[in-house]
Amino acid sequence: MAVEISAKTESSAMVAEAANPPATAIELTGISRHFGEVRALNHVDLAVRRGEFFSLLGPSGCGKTTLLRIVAGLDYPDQGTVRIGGQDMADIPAHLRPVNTVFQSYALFPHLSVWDNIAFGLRMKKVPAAAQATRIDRVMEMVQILPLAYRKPSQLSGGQKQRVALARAIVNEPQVLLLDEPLGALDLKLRKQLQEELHRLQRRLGITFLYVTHDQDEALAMSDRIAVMNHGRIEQMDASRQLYEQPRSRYVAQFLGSCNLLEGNLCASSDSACEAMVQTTVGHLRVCLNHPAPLGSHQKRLTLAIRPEKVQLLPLNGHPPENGVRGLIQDLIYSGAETTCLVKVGEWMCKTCSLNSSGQHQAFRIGQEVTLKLPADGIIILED
Amino acid sequence: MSAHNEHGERPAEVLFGERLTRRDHLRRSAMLSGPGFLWVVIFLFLPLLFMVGISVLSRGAAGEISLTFTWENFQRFAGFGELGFDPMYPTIILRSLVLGLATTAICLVMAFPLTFFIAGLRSPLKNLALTLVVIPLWTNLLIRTYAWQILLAGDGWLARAAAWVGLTGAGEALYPGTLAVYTGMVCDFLPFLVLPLYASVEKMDWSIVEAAMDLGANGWRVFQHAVLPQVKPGVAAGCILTFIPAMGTFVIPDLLGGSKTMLLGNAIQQQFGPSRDWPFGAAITLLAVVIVMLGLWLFYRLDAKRGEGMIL
Repeated sequence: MAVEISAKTESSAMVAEAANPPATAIELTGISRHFGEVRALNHVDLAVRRGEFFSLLGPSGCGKTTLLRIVAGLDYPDQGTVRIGGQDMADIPAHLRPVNTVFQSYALFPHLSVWDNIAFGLRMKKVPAAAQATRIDRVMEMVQILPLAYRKPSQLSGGQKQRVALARAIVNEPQVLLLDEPLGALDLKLRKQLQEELHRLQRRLGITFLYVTHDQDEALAMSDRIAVMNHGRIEQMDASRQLYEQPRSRYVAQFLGSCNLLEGNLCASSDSACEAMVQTTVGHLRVCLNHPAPLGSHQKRLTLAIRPEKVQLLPLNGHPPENGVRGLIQDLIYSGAETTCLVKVGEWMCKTCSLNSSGQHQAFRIGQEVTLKLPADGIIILED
Repeated sequence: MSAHNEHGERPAEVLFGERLTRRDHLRRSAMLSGPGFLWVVIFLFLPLLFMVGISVLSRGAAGEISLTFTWENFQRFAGFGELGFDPMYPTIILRSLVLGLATTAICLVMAFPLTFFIAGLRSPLKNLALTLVVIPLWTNLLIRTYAWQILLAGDGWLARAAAWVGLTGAGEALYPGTLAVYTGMVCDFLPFLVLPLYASVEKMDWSIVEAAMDLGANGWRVFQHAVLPQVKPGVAAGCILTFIPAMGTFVIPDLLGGSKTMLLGNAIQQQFGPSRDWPFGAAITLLAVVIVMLGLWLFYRLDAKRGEGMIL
């Protein structure tokens, strides 16, 4: 879609368009923020690419919302710089920044109709009335709220409010759209539906999205890249797949999906073959290294992680496979599409998970002795 | 199940967490509202009716109420007395309206920054500030007003400070005068505006303010579009609480204004007191009530017209 006014001020719009558009939409350098004794953000560096769907993921209190508010200009960092579209935002107040926010509580103007809510930003920028109407109509159609134009926010359902809040922000065609847990207050089904719509909308508009959420599924489903935050720091920043398949720390591995952890000592590693042998409480395991990296000296302590769906559950008969260990089924949890199985191997409790389409778990029952296959390429070596 | 049980009563509904039949509910309502209702009927509604009645009677030669019907009291109030047109009473109304409106306006302008300042304080300081706002209400109105007389007198430090700055001549008192009247009025009525406004400000949803800023609104527009609509109920309640008594007040203008000017309050007091003309006094009172009601109605209409109607 045509970008008529990509920034809140004419001057910044001209700056952004005159120069070659920079590849980074948002660039945060060394951002710190304290609230009294609490360190909300601790030297955060972050670069969001243009047109990217970028998520900040973390538990409540990890500083993700503070970071978003600093980008929006609703909060200010104690240290560090914020650049949006290459321009330093230090002296630019919220109302002049080329970003718009979708608030968690929607924050619709209660005394204004849906139409007037959406028109607010355009009126503030004194966009001509005819252009206003065209843009509002188009956006309302895009988020499917055309019939609601004359309602007041109090007459809307949660999902409808959410759509209005979204329309009110994107009608301004911001360089970056900031979303603060926009789907947090909705029920699961509606959330799933809106996730898909948001994803499609982002690709259609080509606006950079900075999305704050504590919901890992939501982040994985929608994002191009995710930054996992913890205690005011970014733990890891990667593409969704990379983050899930190759978490670097114990924290990321456990926060994103569930994970079986296993302590061990390094026995041998060969850089050329990209593999290592690790001695663990359940025996020696061969581990494939996706990224050849020096693992350190012999006997070094390591933490291994393996996702439940990577673990294969096999009947006891036949020749034991490579990385196979014997265990006892403790529990079988059927949850529709998949079955989760808890297997006890010595002192170690391992969780496995498989789709019911395979019918694999049907053959098993609680108390049965089985073989667990821990595939060498499914094991991740964590850094801590 | 039928809609009625064996006693012919309608099934119980749950109200205030209790199961009440319709009869229980009526009895409960009568008990709850009865005392207040009786009080208002006996001590407000009936006297008001008497007053309406008296206002169309005439004054006897000895100041008694004579049972002859007349519109004269209202004509006199409108300025058409026995001695031809005299704008005295219309002027009194106008003067009282101006005093009421001006006091409300000054209080409103002062209350806004004060309220936001208090709302922004940390909690122990906040309670202290609110107490300080309410303190004037703990003192008797007369004592407060006499205190202002002393403070504003020629040898008071306020007058001396004003003389030193050059605002007034040396030894000149700051009262009686308009400034003294408004000083006393604002001091008296400010809490009535601050408290309701504060209640609204405390309840404000600041994310709406942030949304307005985010959508490109600067200072004044944020106030206009995100703050004002949210605190409007508090502003309305405060203005009504201030305007109505401020319009009817006479003690402060009397004591600090030097009883040179007549206001609605004095006029009513004079008719019921020294002049012993109850019918005319009743007519003035009635018209004062009507003016206030008219004002409230206009206010309501204006509000409803804007499609918001969230105040009254």
